[in-house]
Amino acid sequence: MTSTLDVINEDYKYGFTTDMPMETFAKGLNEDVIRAISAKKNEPDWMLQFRLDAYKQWQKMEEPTWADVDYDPIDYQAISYYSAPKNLPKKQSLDEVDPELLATFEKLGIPLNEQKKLANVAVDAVFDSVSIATTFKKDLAKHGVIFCSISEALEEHADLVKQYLGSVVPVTDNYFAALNAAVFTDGSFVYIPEGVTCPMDLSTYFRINTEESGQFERTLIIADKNAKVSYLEGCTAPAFSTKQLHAAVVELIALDDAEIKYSTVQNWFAGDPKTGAGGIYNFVTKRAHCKGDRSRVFWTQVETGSAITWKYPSCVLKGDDSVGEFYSVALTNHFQQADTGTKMIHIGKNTKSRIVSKGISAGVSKNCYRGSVVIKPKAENARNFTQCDSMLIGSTCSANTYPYINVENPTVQLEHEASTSRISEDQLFYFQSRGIPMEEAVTAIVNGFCQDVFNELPAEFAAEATKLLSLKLENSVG
Amino acid sequence: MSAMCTLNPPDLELSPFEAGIQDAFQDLATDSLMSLRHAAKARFDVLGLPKPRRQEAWKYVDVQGLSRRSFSLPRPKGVDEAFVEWIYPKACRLSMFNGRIYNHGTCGMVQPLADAVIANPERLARLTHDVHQTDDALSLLNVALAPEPYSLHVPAGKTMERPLEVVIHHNKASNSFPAFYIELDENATADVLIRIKGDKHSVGSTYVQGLIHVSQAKGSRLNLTVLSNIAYAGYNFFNTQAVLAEDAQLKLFSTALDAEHFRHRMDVTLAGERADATLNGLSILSGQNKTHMHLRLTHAVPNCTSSQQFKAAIGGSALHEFDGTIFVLKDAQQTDAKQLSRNLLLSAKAKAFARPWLQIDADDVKCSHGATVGQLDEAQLFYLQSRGITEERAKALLTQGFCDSMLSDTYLDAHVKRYFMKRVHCALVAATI
Repeated sequence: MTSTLDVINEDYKYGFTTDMPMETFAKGLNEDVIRAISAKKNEPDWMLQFRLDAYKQWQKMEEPTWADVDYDPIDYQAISYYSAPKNLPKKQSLDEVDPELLATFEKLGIPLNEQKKLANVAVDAVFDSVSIATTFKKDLAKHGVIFCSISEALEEHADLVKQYLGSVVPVTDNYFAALNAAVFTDGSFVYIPEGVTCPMDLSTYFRINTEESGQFERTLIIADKNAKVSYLEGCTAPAFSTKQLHAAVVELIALDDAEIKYSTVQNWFAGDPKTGAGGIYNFVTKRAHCKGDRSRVFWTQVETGSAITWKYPSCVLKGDDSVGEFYSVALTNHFQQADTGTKMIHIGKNTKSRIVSKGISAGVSKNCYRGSVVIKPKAENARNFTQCDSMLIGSTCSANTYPYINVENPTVQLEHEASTSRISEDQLFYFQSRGIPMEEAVTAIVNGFCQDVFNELPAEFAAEATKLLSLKLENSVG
Repeated sequence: MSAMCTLNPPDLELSPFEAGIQDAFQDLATDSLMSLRHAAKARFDVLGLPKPRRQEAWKYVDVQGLSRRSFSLPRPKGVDEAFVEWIYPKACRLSMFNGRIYNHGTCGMVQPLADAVIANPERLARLTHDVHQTDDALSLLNVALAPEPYSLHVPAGKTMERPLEVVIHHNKASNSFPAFYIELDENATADVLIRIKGDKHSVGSTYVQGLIHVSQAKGSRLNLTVLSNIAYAGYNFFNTQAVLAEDAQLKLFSTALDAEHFRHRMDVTLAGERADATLNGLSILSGQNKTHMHLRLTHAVPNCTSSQQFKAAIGGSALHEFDGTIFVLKDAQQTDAKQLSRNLLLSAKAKAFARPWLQIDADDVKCSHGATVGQLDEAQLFYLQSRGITEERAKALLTQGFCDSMLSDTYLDAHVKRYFMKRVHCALVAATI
């Protein structure tokens, strides 16, 4: 039996580009570019000031270097900060959307056609810098649910946006969040009114199409008292040989008794499997504010793409009895590097958090879990359970675990456990002795390893994640 | 960081502390360790003083005031022998005061390091090599400035008949650099107890930068117990650095009882196959105590095993920090490494910080780590109370049990164990008030 594991290229099937007339800003970043973005979107003056203020702060900040990832310095002047399909006023109906675009999303497997109600998922599709379509808006409006692009929200629900934008991730939070606040172009906005359970899953699909453009979207989700929503996020990008920057900010706000479930299946282009050239730098700030008592936020992520991932979906558990959970599968193969994890900040009484992280590294990749659990002095009876397991496939990859535990209240009950292992020869031998080929055996073992996380995903996402994982691992054993 | 950087640029003004270091170094009497001292000093100048804002390992250690204090090496001064209380009735004894030896018994294997390296130039080369490997700037200060580093050298195949007991203490407002080097040749064995003592009444601002350096040849075995009982303000920083060759075995036990602002950084490298390291720690803190157990354990070659268990019982408004990283290098296949940090919070203002880290570059390894923070188990308390034991007594019993389990290891000598039990009990009484 061969146990040498080596890495062979697997084609990235979303690597195509859509050829259509685009309006793209010249490369570079300065105040004029920010003013131009703001003008393009007819933003109110306070929004422009918000951006300019963020830009000033960003100029004073230093790019963080603490993450366990290596990359060439990013030239922020070599990126185009706005790129959108030409002549594209926001359409009232999908019939008016450019068929070329519809075909692109069709090819990606995203149902933008409202007749295909089977899926029962409302989608906001973001293409480069702008949102091109949001489905099921009318149906949702009947329940009082607002689901639209953030540009529309700025026009139609400015008060809500003004109240909450930057309230969870302040402008000065970190380098990439400040950059995003200055130049974000679009993203999704969700508001679920008091007492409403959103009748369908909401979803955003991000697609980067233009080479040398960056994607800076901003998502804001507000669940009012006793509201409930499940939100899915997916992403792909064409295969270019240059690196592309994706610096998003996601802010979630859960008021009393509200529940938000945020699931991500991330499949950006990870770079050339043989050389590591190209790929997406995924530098994302995601944070939830469990502001209300008994509010609950669940983050579930399956990270398979990106050349570099720098991402820590977090929960600030301010409300008493609030709950934050984080489930993550991070798979790195070839030259990928991931430094990902979560932060659970316990402030309120009786707050609970749970972290389950599964990291799988193959090829010459590097996979790091970095997670922080903070128990503030007033967080009486806080509970945390953390489990982070790593699996290594092949001897050329690395798996690192960096937990940070800071406890300032004695009534806490906190447990952290972690293990690192590889697929055992015994397990493989057993599978093979039953006539199951090596590759299928590895996939089955890895899927089993990740089961705790997949169980948390919505059904259709779970199927996609399982498929994605086996695709990513294909030919990684020989 | 570029190794090309040289001394501080001349335009950069030195703090009183740094200027004092430069002067003290100039004033050192020449001895056979000069090349080692210069190497350490050069590397210190490159690394500079710790930067808590930039270096994770120093984030919670209060070193801000260090650069503002003045720096000078203390003058030699005799101390009354009766001052020292010995644990072993029969042991080789060595005592250091303010970093200088003032008493060493008749143990033939102990001598000044400066004399030891004259007979053994290879040892000097090895020590110089280790200096280049270290990233802990303050430990380099010790190498550069320690006035009288002492050495224990156990020759091949020899076993120390009696344990060696070292007592290190200081008086107030001094800078001191106690240094102790242990070298075990092939198949040698030794049992060393190092006590770092402080006097409750000598309130002043000390800066102690101690170093325990261990090199173990093939098949050697060392039991090293470090007991820190330093109840005075200031900066009490100790480094233990150990390199193990094949089949070597190290059992290191570090305890901090009522230790005021104490940092023990342990660097252990398993450099030969089948080497084995067991690192245990117990901290019992009360009042304003701040104790930092920092650990870097490197598996550099295949087939080594290591286990770490660090427990802390924290009372008062004390802070305990555990910062431990296991490095498994690329070639270190078949590594088996375990790490556990357990923290018991005994009062409302006690704080526990833990960073149990794993950095793994080899695939065929078994590594696990865990951390817990909490109070006493309610079910256990209830059980004891249901048997008629008062709540107070039940708590005391369970806390004692939490700590005593660390002392039950057989490698601790009966004398040491008895002494520890007593100390642990006193510290617990202080911590639970």
